[in-house]
Amino acid sequence: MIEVKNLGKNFKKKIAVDDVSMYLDEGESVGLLGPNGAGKSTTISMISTLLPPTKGTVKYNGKNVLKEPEELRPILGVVPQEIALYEELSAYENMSFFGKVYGISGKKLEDKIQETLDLVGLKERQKDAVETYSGGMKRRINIAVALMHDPEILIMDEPTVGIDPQSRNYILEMVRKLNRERGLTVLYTSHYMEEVEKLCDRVYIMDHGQIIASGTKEELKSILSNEETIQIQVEETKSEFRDLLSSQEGVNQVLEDEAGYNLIVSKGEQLLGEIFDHAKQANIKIIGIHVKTPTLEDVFLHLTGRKLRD
Amino acid sequence: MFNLVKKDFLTLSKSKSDLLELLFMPFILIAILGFALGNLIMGGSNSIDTFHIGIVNEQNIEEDLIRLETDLMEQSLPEEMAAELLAGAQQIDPSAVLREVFEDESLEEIMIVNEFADTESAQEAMKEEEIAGFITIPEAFSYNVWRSIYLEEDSAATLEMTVLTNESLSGVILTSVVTTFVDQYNLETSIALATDGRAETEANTEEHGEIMSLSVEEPISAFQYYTIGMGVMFALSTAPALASRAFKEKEQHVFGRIMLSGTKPLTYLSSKMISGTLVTFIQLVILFLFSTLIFGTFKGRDFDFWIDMGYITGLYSLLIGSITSLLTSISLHSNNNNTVNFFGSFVSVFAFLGGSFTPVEQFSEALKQVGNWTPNGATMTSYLQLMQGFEFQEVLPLMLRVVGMIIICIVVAVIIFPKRRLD
Ligand SMILES: Nc1ncnc2c1ncn2[C@@H]1O[C@H](COP(=O)(O)OP(=O)(O)OP(=O)(O)O)[C@@H](O)[C@H]1O
Ligand SMILES: [Mg+2]
Repeated sequence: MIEVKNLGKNFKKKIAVDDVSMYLDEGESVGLLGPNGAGKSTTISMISTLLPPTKGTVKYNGKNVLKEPEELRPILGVVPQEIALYEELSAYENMSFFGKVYGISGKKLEDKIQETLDLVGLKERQKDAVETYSGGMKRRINIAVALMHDPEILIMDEPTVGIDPQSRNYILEMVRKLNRERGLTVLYTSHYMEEVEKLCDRVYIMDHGQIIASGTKEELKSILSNEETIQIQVEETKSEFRDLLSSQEGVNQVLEDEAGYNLIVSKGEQLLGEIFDHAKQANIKIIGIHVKTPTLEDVFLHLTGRKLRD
Repeated sequence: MFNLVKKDFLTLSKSKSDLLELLFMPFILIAILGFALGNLIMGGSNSIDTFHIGIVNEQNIEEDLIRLETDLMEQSLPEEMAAELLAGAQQIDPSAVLREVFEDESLEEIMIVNEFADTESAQEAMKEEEIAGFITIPEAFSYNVWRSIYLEEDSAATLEMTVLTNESLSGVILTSVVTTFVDQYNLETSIALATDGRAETEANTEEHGEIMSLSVEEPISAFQYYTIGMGVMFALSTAPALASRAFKEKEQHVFGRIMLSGTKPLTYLSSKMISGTLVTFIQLVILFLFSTLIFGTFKGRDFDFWIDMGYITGLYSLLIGSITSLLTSISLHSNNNNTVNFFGSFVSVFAFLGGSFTPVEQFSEALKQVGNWTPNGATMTSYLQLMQGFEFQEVLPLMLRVVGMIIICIVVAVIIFPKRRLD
């Protein structure tokens, strides 16, 4: 349906997107994962014809959308990373405006507005100005506007960024429904691994303007099939402990965060004893430890040596 | 298109600060300036409250009386009647009436009359800017007036008026006073006139002075002046206000959303032009109406006057609309709001040059000329001339200037507007 080849974008000297190739089949739900500044938004802008690329092509059903954006635009619903709305206007007024921009009018428009408001659960607040909404509600209306014209492809750029878990689940559930029940093709951008794991059939992982891995969730996880993760929670972190862990044989990677450490270790290694020894030596109190099978998060960690979020 | 314009109005109507700025502020300023600076502005070319004018009396009233007497004799009127007429004539000596008009109490505040022996000394005083202008009562003026009244002959009674600068308010006042006199006297008289060769002028187009037209209907009141001044100024500020909204639309990615819907970039640009035009028109109409309702600014004007005002207002609205689209184009093209902000901060400079605060000709004629090349200045002068009773035809050159500006704005706006997608 959509095919992206060697897409690149430079802003002056800065390379935002280096070389991205990907595809999107009808009815699929595809995730685009990457840390801040990876180039996700830039890639999405180019795919949705809003930004001319420096190089590469985007094709929709074989036609170059950069030359003929008219083909793709009407069937595309784009949810920008920002709240792209008139915040001083009400949800209703926004939806009415954007509906009309797409040429919907009269009863059809009215029905569509109510149907969509229902979908995002904002019927009661429809007359209130968007600026009076909570973050989660703004996100939902931001999505609703993109659905007004019944798009076939929905491109979402971090639609859940910075909101409470409840709103987040609501949105995830909604997107899943749109994909499963209405057959909407979804390209979902996020730096939340769990969202993508829950929602997407296939995943692209992006870093520094490049796709560093892609495939189904299982395929990606199989990269780590020989590894597992040990999470250690400590009272306080110490570099001495970290050094000891790093030099321990069988530990492939050590990552530190506020709560403690994540170790990526070769599968089957029995390292718990050693870990406790090191803790004792470094005078560290371990308050929790557990071993888990790899997640996409771990895949990312493995591929880049960094965590998705700081 | 209608949808886009409606949305602009809707968002504008939700913004209290913008409404305040566009409608309430000019109104407050009209009130303040109208009341407080009313006298100052009437001072015209003197920056004090009053201005001086001169009267040069070249006629000899005794001589005129004798000539009238002789004429009456020749008419072979009964002696009694002739004597009566003569006595009556003395009572309504036109030059005396004229002086009375000038020395009227109501004018005392703004105008002081100085007598001069001859035109040369009056010219001299005007050069020194001691007086703003002078009126010459020529030889045999009263005699000619009488003749036209009593003998029903074609009168050649001519008053000559010389003012320092054309279009200056003091000039306008002077003219209007003379007009009042003319009305009072109900003369079927031709009075020397002409500005810019609009009518034959006999002399007196000196370096310093031009002869004022006497087709003037009424003087311009401070409220009228400031209603126009503030109107054109705040209308001008409407353009950057709307253009920054457009820029905000791009920054907040709603512009992208609109483009994604397949809306043509030029449709968007046109909608900005239409919004700018409509907002300005409504703004000015509200301002004029309220100013009239509350301050009686344009009370009692006839339908034709309002029609002509409508033309100028419509044209100016179009100009603001096209400036809006130009600014929108520039800010979307350059991807920043600098030009718009710059223009916004320049509005007051334009307003000053255009004469929104005070007639700039009191500083220099050159400044006035520059001012007449600003969008608001050209329009303001047109309004003022119209209010002084000029015909629409005579305002046309300035209006054509406005049309020229409109065309330039639109052409440039279309050329630089990002056509296909956004960058
Ligand atoms: N208009 C621009 N001008 C200059 N640099 C830009 C521009 N837009 C993006 N960039 C740069 O390109 C890089 C990629 O940005 P992009 O917004 O695509 O990242 P992202 O993956 O969406 O990040 P995030 O998760 O924070 O949204 C960043 O380093 C950013 O600074
Ligand atoms: Mg982004």
